[in-house]
Amino acid sequence: MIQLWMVLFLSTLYFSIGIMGILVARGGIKLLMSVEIIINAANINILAWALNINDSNGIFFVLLSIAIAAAESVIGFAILVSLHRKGKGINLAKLTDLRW
Amino acid sequence: MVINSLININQYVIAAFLIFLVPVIMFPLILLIGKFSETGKRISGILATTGIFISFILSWFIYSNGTFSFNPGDYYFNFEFPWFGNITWGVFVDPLAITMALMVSGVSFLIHMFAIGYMGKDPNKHVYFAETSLFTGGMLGLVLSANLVMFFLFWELVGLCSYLLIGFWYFKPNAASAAKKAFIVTRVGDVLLILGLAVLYWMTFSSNDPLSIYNLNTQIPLIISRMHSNLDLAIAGALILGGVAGKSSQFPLHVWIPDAMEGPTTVSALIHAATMVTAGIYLVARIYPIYLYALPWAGLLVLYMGAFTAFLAGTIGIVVNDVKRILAYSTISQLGYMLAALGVGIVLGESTVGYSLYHLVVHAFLKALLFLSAGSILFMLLDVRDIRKMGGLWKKMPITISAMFIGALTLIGFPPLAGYFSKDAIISLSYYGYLHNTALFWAWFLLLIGAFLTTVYTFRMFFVVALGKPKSYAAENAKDPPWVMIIPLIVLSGLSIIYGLFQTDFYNFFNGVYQMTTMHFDIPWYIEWLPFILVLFGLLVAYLFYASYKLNPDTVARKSGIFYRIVKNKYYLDVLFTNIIAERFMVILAKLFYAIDKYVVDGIVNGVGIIFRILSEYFRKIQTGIVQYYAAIMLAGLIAILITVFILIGGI
Repeated sequence: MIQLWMVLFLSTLYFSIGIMGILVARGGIKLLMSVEIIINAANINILAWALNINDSNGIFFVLLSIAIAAAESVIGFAILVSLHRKGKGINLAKLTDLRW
Repeated sequence: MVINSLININQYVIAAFLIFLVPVIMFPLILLIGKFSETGKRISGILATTGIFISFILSWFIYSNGTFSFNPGDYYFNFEFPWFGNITWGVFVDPLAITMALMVSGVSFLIHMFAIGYMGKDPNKHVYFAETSLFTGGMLGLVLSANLVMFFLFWELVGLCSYLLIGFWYFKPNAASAAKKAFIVTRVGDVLLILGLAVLYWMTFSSNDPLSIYNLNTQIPLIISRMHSNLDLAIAGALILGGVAGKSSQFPLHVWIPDAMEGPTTVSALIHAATMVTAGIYLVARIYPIYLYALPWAGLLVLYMGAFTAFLAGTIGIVVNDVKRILAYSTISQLGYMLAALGVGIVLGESTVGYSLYHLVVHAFLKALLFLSAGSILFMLLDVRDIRKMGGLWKKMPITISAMFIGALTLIGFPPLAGYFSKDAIISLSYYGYLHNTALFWAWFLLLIGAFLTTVYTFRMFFVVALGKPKSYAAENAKDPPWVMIIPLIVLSGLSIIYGLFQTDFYNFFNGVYQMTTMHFDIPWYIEWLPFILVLFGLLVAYLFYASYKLNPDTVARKSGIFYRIVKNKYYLDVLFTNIIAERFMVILAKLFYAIDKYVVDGIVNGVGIIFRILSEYFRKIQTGIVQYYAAIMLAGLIAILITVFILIGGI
């Protein structure tokens, strides 16, 4: 039987992996993937609580959240593609145009 | 609010307000129509003259119907509105005020009429007439104001107008700097005046109508009894006297008036006869009780300031060559007589306002006459002002020079012209004062010598201008000016001749008001005739030097050496003010303040900026541009906040 805490644990695990990915990723693609993982962690969390209290609103919020995550990753990819076309590469450590 | 002896507005109150409002309203009117139409420019002089004439008619209306009161037995009426705080504004009309209003509007009317001819060709004459109209309106408002705060506002308005008019020909560098000098020097006086007003306000603010002329004229003993000593009054009086010295050009603030001759001559006539310099004398007469109840040294200060100025200006007048400056120094000298007349009364503890005002009115007539005839000369001689370039004008312009002759005789006090009755009365008065108080001896002496000096410089000017041969091309071709300029000369000549008849009436007009006790002085006959003898002697001296040339003034000047140099340089007062006080002292002070402003005030402001720039030089390195650093720091911050919150709340 799957308990609530198991799902929440899964969500926390995903979240930690996502944060770790953001902090250590070298490439832009990995960064975007990490962001998606964090959003998924949040989605799982919402679903878990929604099912726990038998409330269907949570399910629709998660659907909305997935759509937003898709749009967000599209914008992220667009930025990365245009950076790539300008020949600057997508290595995050080297994208330091906006520093002091 | 004290609205004494007054129930309703009646026609006299409205007339009193209109007296000064009509010329003031004329100011924007003339400016606007003169700006937008040529016809307006042409009739601007007539408009201004009409406005002043209306004021004169209204003054005459009040005077001729005048018991000046709503209650029988009172000698004034007083109408006040609340203004701000417990200060009021309104009109206060008594014989003193109405005499001044009549004199100012009457003389100003004649001068305006003269100016229609004199300024006829000036392209900016609508500006000129608008400003003189405001000038006269300001003076009339000053004369009629019921409160010293309102008085001070009009006082400043008069100062502003004098600045504008002296600098009317602002394209002449001399005129521009003379206007500036007049403004700054009178400003020095005005600072003292406003300090004096502050002291007076401090003494009277507990009464329900502080600084009102009515209170200051009737309730000074009450104010003293309330807690203030007569030392406070003396301090207030002395400070106010500083303002008087600035406005009425008394020593040592008289230096602006000779330079003010750079303006149009009609402006000089206005300043000297009607609108500006008499304001100071009027102020002392207006708040006469303050000096009466003050410590004796305040009265002596008034007296000796006047007497010394009368003497000092007379000596300078002898060596000046500019016809208008001679008249300017004579004005300073005569104002000294008026102030000294007031001072004698203060020292004796009696009212001598009548004597001072009589001389003031006579002087207004004769000085307007002299300036207007000098104006005619300059008008015809194309602004040649050096008397050494004139000469022989009596034959060329007989009416003008005859008018000047009458003016000159009146000025020196030749009987039976009006000046004899006004000026000799003051000298006799000062001797009468000496009989009662020996401190007055030198005042009498200075005034007596002043009479002699007046004769010498007046007739030096007159002889050089009128007799002899013409000494320049312009002087050879002079002739009398047009009728619009002649009529004022004739009217003023007539007044100068016959006004002596009204001496007793004039004194009586003030008599009931200020309880003047002495009319005839108990002094020896030879003292009474001494001024006249000195006048005759002065005439002889002037004749020998400047008409018959039996004696050569240049030789005397060379022989007297250092005295001549001192007098010729106006006692080095201009040097003192400009080269020593201004350049050595004020410039250094100004540099000090500049340095404080630059290094301390600006230093604080700029220093804060510099500190943040230096700090940011180091701290901006935080912004590496690498996104993950930001994310890491944000996360660390979030964790730190969460931990703090958990600790503060006390665990989950």
